[in-house]
Amino acid sequence: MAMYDIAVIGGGPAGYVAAIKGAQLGGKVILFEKDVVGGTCLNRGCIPTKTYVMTAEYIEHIKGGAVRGIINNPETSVNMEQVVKYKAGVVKQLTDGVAALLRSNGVDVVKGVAKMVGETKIECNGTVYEAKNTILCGGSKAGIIPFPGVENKNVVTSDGILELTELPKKLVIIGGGVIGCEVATAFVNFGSEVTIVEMMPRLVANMDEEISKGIEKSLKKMGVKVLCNYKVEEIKDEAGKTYVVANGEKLEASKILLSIGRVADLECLGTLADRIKQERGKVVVDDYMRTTIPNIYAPGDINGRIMLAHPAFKMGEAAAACCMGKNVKADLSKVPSCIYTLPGAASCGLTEAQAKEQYGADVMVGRFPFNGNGRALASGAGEGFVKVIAEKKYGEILGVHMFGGDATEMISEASSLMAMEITVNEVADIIHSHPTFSEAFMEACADALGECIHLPAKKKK
Amino acid sequence: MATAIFMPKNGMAMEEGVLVRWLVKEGDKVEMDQPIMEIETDKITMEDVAPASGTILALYAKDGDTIPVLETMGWIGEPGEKVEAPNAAPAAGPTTPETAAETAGAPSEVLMSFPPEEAPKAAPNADGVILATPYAKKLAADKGIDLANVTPTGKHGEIVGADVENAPTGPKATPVAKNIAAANGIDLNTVEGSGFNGKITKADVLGGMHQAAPAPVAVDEEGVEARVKMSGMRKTIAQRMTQSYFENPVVTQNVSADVTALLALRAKINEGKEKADRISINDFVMKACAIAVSEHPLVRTIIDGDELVTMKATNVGMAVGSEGGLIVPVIKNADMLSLSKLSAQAKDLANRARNGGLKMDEYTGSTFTVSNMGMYEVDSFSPIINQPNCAIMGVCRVRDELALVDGEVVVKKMMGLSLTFDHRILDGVTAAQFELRIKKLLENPMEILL
Repeated sequence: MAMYDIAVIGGGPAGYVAAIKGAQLGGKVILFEKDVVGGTCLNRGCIPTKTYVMTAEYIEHIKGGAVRGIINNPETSVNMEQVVKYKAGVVKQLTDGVAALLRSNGVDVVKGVAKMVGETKIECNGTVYEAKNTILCGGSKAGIIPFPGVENKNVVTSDGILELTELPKKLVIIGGGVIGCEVATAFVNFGSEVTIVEMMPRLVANMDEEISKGIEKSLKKMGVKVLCNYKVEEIKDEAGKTYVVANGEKLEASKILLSIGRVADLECLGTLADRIKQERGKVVVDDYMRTTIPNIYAPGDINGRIMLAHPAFKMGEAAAACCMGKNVKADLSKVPSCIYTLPGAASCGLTEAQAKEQYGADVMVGRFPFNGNGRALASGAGEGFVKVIAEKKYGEILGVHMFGGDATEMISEASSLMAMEITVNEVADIIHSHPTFSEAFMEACADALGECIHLPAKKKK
Repeated sequence: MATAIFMPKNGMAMEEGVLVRWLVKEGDKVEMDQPIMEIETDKITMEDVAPASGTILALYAKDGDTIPVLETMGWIGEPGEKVEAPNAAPAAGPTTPETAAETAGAPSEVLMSFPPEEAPKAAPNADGVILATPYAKKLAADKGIDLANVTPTGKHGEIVGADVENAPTGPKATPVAKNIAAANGIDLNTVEGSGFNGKITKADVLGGMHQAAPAPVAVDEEGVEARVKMSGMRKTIAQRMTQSYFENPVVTQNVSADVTALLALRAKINEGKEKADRISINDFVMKACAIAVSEHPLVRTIIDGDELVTMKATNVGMAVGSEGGLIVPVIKNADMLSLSKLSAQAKDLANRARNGGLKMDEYTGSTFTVSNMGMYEVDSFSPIINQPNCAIMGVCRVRDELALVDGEVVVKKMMGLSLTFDHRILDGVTAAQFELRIKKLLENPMEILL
């Protein structure tokens, strides 16, 4: 059988991008995918949840129409079968697109579970393939904590929740991270009674504290019950009903979403599992995505550096370029992250707490609330803020945190300028179109310098 | 009779030239054929010489002016001699609206024009071409400077060679990288950029993140025990040491000081004191150095271009080894501090230097540095000057020596002192006198206390 330049195991964001990049650079590439190309992101993650949240946003707009003078009947409900069907259409369009891209680049795609059986050998469906380089893109799967009752038939992970064709009356979400908050946003608007049980003192605990507060407030406003500092003890059935027991409280649930995090899927390591170094269940790689075996690379969720699709794209590209003899690092220092709640949140860089820990008093914080932004008010979206954290001496932007407005789109401006190492002084001088949500970022930068035009003058200290 | 200095016509095609700079000023005495000005034509830059011997009576043209050939630019003659006023059409620089208004009877459109920008950038002409003299273009190409970033001063808005020379050079760098480099005195030309087209990023300046491309796996690494990337601090030390080592012609002079009395005095002072409050030998040496530095202005002198600059303050740096490398905290105005105050400050600074708690102004601005290797039993060494200082005192160990005093053999405590100095600034004798002064102070320690 022909020797490939690159074999890619897994067709998610890291894998399919690596395959295309490798082909672009002239390599002969084969890609193995056990399911449908597109990975978690397209099939079970980013895209389906965003489709659901948009459906929720429609409902919110319809219900909120009356204050704007729209005369309608705000009774809304969802036909879950159609919700799932619509989502499936979106997903199919995108995964078909990825398949077409792979085909147009001449990548051989093999469907099946593939595993390493040697440094240059991959086995799939009983056939052994050979490649000079292998890129392991096994991705990740929903993590499961083995507390009593976790095997209950009403427990689903993020995979299952997106396939429900019947709206759960009472949805209990264990884990108030990004997935938990997004699913809560969708299902509370669809009409479920939603409770989030979070072990940490706040939701999305790795984000800036103000974002956590903002999201908690808006979820509560939508009717979500948020229980932080709650530890789940067990899941049990009693008299035909399922309950989540947390901090001694019994919470009735028709469905339970387990969203406590994701773990790397190491199945593709095969017989090399004990030769490729791992730490805490993740493959260890350097900045070039190389594993401890020189011709084997591991970009994406499998290395656990940042479990998001967009850094996975870049990691996949770097790995493929390295396979083709280039030395390309994946720089993951300025990766934005987004939460698609209503309103959404986004951030890039250090949180205020992290910045103060690292830089002490040499930190400036600028803030601009959306209720001072014309576009936001016109859109009925005065909730939220943009916060900019900068270092005093050099003006370096250390972190940007947005809640509200069009945060998930706006963050790209901040992360781009941060990647270019533009200072807060320069951003304050860049003309932003008016009226836009984006002006808030410029205003927050100006506020960090004490020069914001559209905020009341601060009292001189 | 006075002789005119004029723009020479160096070729049939030459119509005007640029006065790059005068090499003389009014009142200077010059000899015939002595170079007096640097001029630039569209082909070359050259020096032009005095057409006569005498005194420079007047210089009308200003550096950077573009002047038609054969136009008078100044006069040479006898002091007091009357000379013709400059030509009716003076070879002035770019005409400003104000002067134009005065001479041309203030037409209204001139009054309404915008004031000139302080530093007009070269604007491309209608064809999109930036006007520049051929020499300026060649210079820019050699230096890798983009003409679009050069401020033109030519008569017709063209860029002349001097403009290119004066243009801020330097590699491309991100704003944050530039700020960090500027604040820490790092020359961006010495930094290798890792970004697109060699753009220098923050990480490049800090020297931490950027790694060279991975070495081919086949390289014989067997003999290597460890390969560690230099920390930013280590890189800075390496760069400064190399710079100092190769820039200064240095001499090290070794003397020994009899510190028997000093040690006795120190013992007396420290009697009954807590360990933290005790005065160290190094405190005495630093104070003695501070006194001597304050008395010898040349030791506080640095070279700036072709000038010698003497600093007012006696700020004594002390080399402290820390985990990351060497750092030199500075005791400001050490000559004015009492020994106990100096001692307390030295302890505090050394502690914080080791724990990385120094503020920027606590490790900059030294005029002299003391490096003590005595505790490691070093007998003599040649310390490297902490630039821009012009000298550094290496303090060596104290050892017992036998000496004859009044026919009796006695034991004396002798301390070695190794002074390295920059021979561009200090001559051997001056340095020896300075070092002798320190020796005398150490041998008569009461004088240090006074």
